[in-house]
Parts: sequence; structure tokens; C-alpha cells
Amino acid sequence: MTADRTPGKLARSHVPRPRQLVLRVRLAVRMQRAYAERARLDLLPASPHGSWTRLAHRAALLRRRESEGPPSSRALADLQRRAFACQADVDAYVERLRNWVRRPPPPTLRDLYAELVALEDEFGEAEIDVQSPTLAVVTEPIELEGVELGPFRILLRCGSVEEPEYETIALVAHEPSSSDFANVTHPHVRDDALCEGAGHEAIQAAFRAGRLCDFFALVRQVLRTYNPGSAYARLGEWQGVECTDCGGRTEEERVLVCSQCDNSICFDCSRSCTGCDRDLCGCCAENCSACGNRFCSACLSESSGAGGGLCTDCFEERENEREELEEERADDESGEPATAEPE
Amino acid sequence: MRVLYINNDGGGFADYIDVEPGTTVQRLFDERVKYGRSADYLIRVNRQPAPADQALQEGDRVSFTPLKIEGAK
Repeated sequence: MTADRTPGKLARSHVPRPRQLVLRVRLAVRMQRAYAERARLDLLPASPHGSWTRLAHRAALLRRRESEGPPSSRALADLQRRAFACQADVDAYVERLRNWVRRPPPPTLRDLYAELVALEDEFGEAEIDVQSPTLAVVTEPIELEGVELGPFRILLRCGSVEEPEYETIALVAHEPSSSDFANVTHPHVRDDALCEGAGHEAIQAAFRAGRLCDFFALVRQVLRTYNPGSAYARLGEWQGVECTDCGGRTEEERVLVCSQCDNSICFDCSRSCTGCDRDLCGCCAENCSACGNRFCSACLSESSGAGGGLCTDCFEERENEREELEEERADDESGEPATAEPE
Repeated sequence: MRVLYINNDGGGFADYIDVEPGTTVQRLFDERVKYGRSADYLIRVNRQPAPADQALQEGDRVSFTPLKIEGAK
């Protein structure tokens, strides 16, 4: 690997624009205050005193009554139940206490500033808005198994540091065509919300510790990974050929081409011309105004006025009727009946 | 010597640990990540990409982030 030594071409993070430097500092200060405040309010967990007291009272009561006779089986079962509940509470307390002792200290201003610098190194650019306050990066175009989903903007709201509040916004609208998957922009993103799956705990931990670069990197890695076993929409929904009639996507083998306009149509939407049996899309199939059957434009006569086109059979039938009428009319005008009908 | 070790796999781990002087990134990875290949992780030392043979220094911050993290629905 060779580093670019061209003068004046140092990485931007090393020579920050003055405004970007100020924004980094201001956001870091704001977030550091929030982390410090959260740490101040994060008190030592309360012990399960109530649970122990209830158990001790019940045990003492039974002991006092022992002189009157052995405790009933019901009273002993109740005591045992209280003892197990107390044990469970103590176990939970031990776990809470362990987590509290091992909780990360609030990040320092220096830590947070370094995270913002690293973030720009990792993603090329970070958008800082101190007023909102928000922090955002844009991923490279995400491609999963050959399906292009485009770049995603990861927007983190930095006002609260309790839980990470963020959105994963697809910058190129590319959803599965089926309406069943409205607002699904990635197999694991719906309504701009990422379902973190296996990454949930690590993402939470990174944010709570102020490891902002890890937080964004973890979100990006989830976006880069496809888990077909648990997806809002499987990648197949983005693949295949789009039917111009219903908008759904279908495997190429299950798509027909309209003989008139060359549009692709799925089997369900395809129609056949009653006259020549060619495949047609919804736009190109026309109904005969007389018999109502579907035809391509070649098999329909020119529109004969308000009634629309006619198929060959109906056209001939109508022509014959018309000729007969004309003959009758001609006969009427000449004063002779067209056919001599017996009285 | 002590380094800050961050493993972003699973539930995430971040704490100071003791390592022998001269420990490389790869050796730390082999010791700490039992079931994984370093090629499947983003490895950063002091928030910068680092080669596997880089020797760690006192106070370094080392992070391993898996390349593949399965989302859900």
C-alpha cells in the first residue's frame, strides 16, 4: 500500500476545514455533557431488600409457631416459594451490580472528538448539525448478492444518549415492487428503521459508551449483510422482470412480451388475442364492441363510430346486415317488395 | 502492558486487558476471538486500520468488528 504524499493532499481529517473543526468540537461538547449527566444519574442499583424482608418475616413467624406444632405443608410450600423468589431477585441483583461496576465511564471530550475524526476517516465525510443535534454519514452503495440497493444515510439523533435514536435512509428509492413491501428499502430496513438482529447489543453498547465510530460501523455492517431467514422482504423481491401491468416482479421465465408494444407482462396479466392468439398486455388488448371478446388491433376493424372496433366475424355480420338493409331500402324506394311474401 | 480491547461481536465487549509486550494484532485476535478469522473482521488500532503484524503499544485501543452481522425483521 502506498500513501499519497502529494503536498496539500493530506487526509481531510488531518487538515479539517475550520468550520468542520468547530462543528466537531461543539457537538463533542454537547454530547459529553449528555453522557456525563447520564453517568451522574446512573446510581448504584437498589438491593432486593423487600424480597429478603418478606422471606425473613415469614420464616420468623413459622419458627415462633413451631412450639404449637410443625408447620403445615401449605405454609412450608409458601416459604419455599418466597425463598426461590428471593434467590431469583438476588441473582438478578448480582447481574445488575456486575454490569454497573463494569459500566464504561462517560467518554471524555477528547474521546468524542477523536470519534468524530475517525468517523470521517471511516466514511469519508460526516454531516454534523449542532442545532438538531444530529450526526450523519452515508454508506457506499449497498449491494447484496448482486442486488443494488444504493447508498444509505445513517442519521443519529444526539440529543439523548440513553438509547441510540437513528434512521437508515435509502438515498435511492429502490423498493420491491409489490405493495406488500411498502417502505421496505433493504431486507432489514422498513420505514427507515433498521432491525439490528444479531447486532442489537453491540450497537447499543457502542452508543452507550460513546464509541460513535463503532456505532456507525456496526450499523453499516448490518446493512452490508443479508439474512434471508429473517427479512422484511427477500432479495428475490428486488430481482426479476417487472410486469408493466401489475408492477410485480417475476422470474424471467415466467414473463411474456406483448406482441404489439413489447412490454413485459407476467402470466397472470397476459391476454391472448381471440383472433390470432398473440400475447397482449392490458393496454394493447381491445374488446370487440359487438361480441366483447379480446383482440389485438390487427384483428379489429377500424372503429365504426361510437361503438368501437369490431372483430372480423362481427364486422362481416354487421356488413351483411347493412347490405340487406340497403337492399330493402332500395326496394322500398322502387316500390317493389324485396321479397314477395304471401298474404 | 494494558490496552483497551473492544470486541464488537455478539453483545460487545470493551475493557482494559493486560497483554505481553510485543503482542501483535493477530496474536491478540487469536487469543481473544476463538472462533473466527481475522479476515472476517474490521480491525482498528487507535481508530485506524492496522496490519495483522502490527505490535501493540501500551495504552493502544484495539477494536474488532465483524464484517457480517445478520439483521432481522
